[in-house]
Amino acid sequence: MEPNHSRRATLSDLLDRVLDKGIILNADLVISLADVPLIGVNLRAAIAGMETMVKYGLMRDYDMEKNIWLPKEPSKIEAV
Amino acid sequence: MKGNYLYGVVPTGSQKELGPIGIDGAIVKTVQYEKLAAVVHSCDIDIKIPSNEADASRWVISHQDVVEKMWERFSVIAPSSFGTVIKGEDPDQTTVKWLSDNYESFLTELKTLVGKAEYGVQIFWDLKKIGEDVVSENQELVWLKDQIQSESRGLAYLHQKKMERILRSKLEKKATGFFKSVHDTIAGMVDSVVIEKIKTAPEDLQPADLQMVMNVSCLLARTDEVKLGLYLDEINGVDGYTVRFTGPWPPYSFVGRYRGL
Repeated sequence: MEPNHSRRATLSDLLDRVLDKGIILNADLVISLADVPLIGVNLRAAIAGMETMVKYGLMRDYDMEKNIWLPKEPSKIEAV
Repeated sequence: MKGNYLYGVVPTGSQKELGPIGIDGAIVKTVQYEKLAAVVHSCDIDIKIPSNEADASRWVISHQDVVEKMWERFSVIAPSSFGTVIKGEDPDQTTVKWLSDNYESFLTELKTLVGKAEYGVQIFWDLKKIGEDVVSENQELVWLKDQIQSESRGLAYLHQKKMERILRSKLEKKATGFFKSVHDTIAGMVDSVVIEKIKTAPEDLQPADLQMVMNVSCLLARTDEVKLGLYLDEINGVDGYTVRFTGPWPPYSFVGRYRGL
């Protein structure tokens, strides 16, 4: 089987990694943005339904050439 | 006070301006120390993460987008958690000092990550189906099941409870045995395995009463992805089991924790 890397299908897997893991610096050097643990809880709850993600067009594409977010294309947003 | 919002550390000898690809269009750049660079954008340390879910999600996804772009551009990255800001009177200076203090460890670590990626493996079983299998393989449980059909209510209740206890215990043993066997096989195929927490199954998986029995993150060469996939196909093919294979991810689970100043 091939690993799934569709952003839509693996959003909660992404959150598990990007919110809880990675390089961690010590407290004197760095501050973590204070609301991050709360964000984790809220986002995970939102992802359970997926509606928020789709509704707010979070799957918009980024155009690497022009360095801009492409406008939302209604046809690309799937109904949940 | 100012800070450098950190996306990760990459191996590069030259300073780069990467453009407005950061969170909310922030301008991303590298802060150099010899052959290493921190990928950052300049920010105020008292910025607030948006409290509404949509905007907060956008920020998190932007973070990941930058990490992935840097991964592609520099071939390897030690990614940072979302929401990490390096602070200081002169954040660039603090960043340089941090890189220099941890120079050898970062270089060594990045070397071990070249050509590798993280993959997630989650395995679920259909509790009902597996439970039925366990019952049918066990004489005592088969007997109890038969008895319960024709017994008086009181006795049936006691036997039902006994059956549930035995079944629960057998399922636990089966899950543990399964986990160990699969874990050991996977560990023999990949560079490194991190055991993750068991969670509830995602909503889109069918049937709905799947129970997660394994959750691991693996670090492996991208060229070994196919081999791992074939092994997971074998498991996925067994009636009652479902495998969820995700990735390739930047190696969030496999980067060290670096001490600061």
